[in-house]
Amino acid sequence: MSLLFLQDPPDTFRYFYAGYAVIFLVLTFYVISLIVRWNNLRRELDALEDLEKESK
Amino acid sequence: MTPTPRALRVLEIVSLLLLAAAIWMVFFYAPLEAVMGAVQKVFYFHVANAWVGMLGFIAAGVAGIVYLRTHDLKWDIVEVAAVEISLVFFLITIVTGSIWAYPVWNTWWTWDPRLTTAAILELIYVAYLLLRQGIEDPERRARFGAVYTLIGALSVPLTFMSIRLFRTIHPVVIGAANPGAQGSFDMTPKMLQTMLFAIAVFSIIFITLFWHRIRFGRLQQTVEQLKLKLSQ
Repeated sequence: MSLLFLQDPPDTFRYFYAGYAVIFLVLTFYVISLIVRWNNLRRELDALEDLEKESK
Repeated sequence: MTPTPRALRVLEIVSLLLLAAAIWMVFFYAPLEAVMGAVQKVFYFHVANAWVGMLGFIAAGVAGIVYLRTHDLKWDIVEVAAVEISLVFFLITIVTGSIWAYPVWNTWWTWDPRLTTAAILELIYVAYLLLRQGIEDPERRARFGAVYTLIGALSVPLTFMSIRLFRTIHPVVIGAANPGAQGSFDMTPKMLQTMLFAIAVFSIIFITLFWHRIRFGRLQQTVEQLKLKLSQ
């Protein structure tokens, strides 16, 4: 009789996938932003160092 | 700027391997919760992100105290690095919480004490980054940042304790149970192991990103100093 009351868990897989997609998208976006900003700053530093050499 | 230290390279690889292991545990090791189904598994990374987010905000407050005592600008770099990374992790916490809430609470958002204090916490530090940009003088900017993060850090224990102090529908998974909570569940040993492992993994990811962000801050400082030197 008690078997009649047993139910499968609800299908909430799409929320589960959406949650993990958000985690990886945000983390990937941040890592890429850090790399891009680092490269831009590196280029700026090289240009400033060249300018410093010229001014000497 | 010195090349990337070997230890940091090792840490990057270890972080990626551990992240893969944590994903495996979430997908295949942790059991499916009977009432909520698969969406409950969002909880493992949600809690881990909240942990490192709050830890970073506290670390920023500590760096602020050290700056006020030493007036060494390197602590300002540490402080802003901690805030920036914590903002990312805490944003993930808020968004994943909202995704979990929809099938469980039947709403994406409610002005519950935990959700409200978490949103305020995130906004406090968004404002910190915006306000910093308006200050040109590095010493003044660092002093402002130190005082701000010190006061801002007070909202971390308030956010953490909000589900214990106020009437809320947010579940209390660790410690005392919340009778008014919707979406509570009893953790099995496998669930607990997965949660603790995810917390450890995200702590290591935090350290890796923190180290990178501090190096970026030092590069920013070098560029700023060189610009100042050339302008004189």
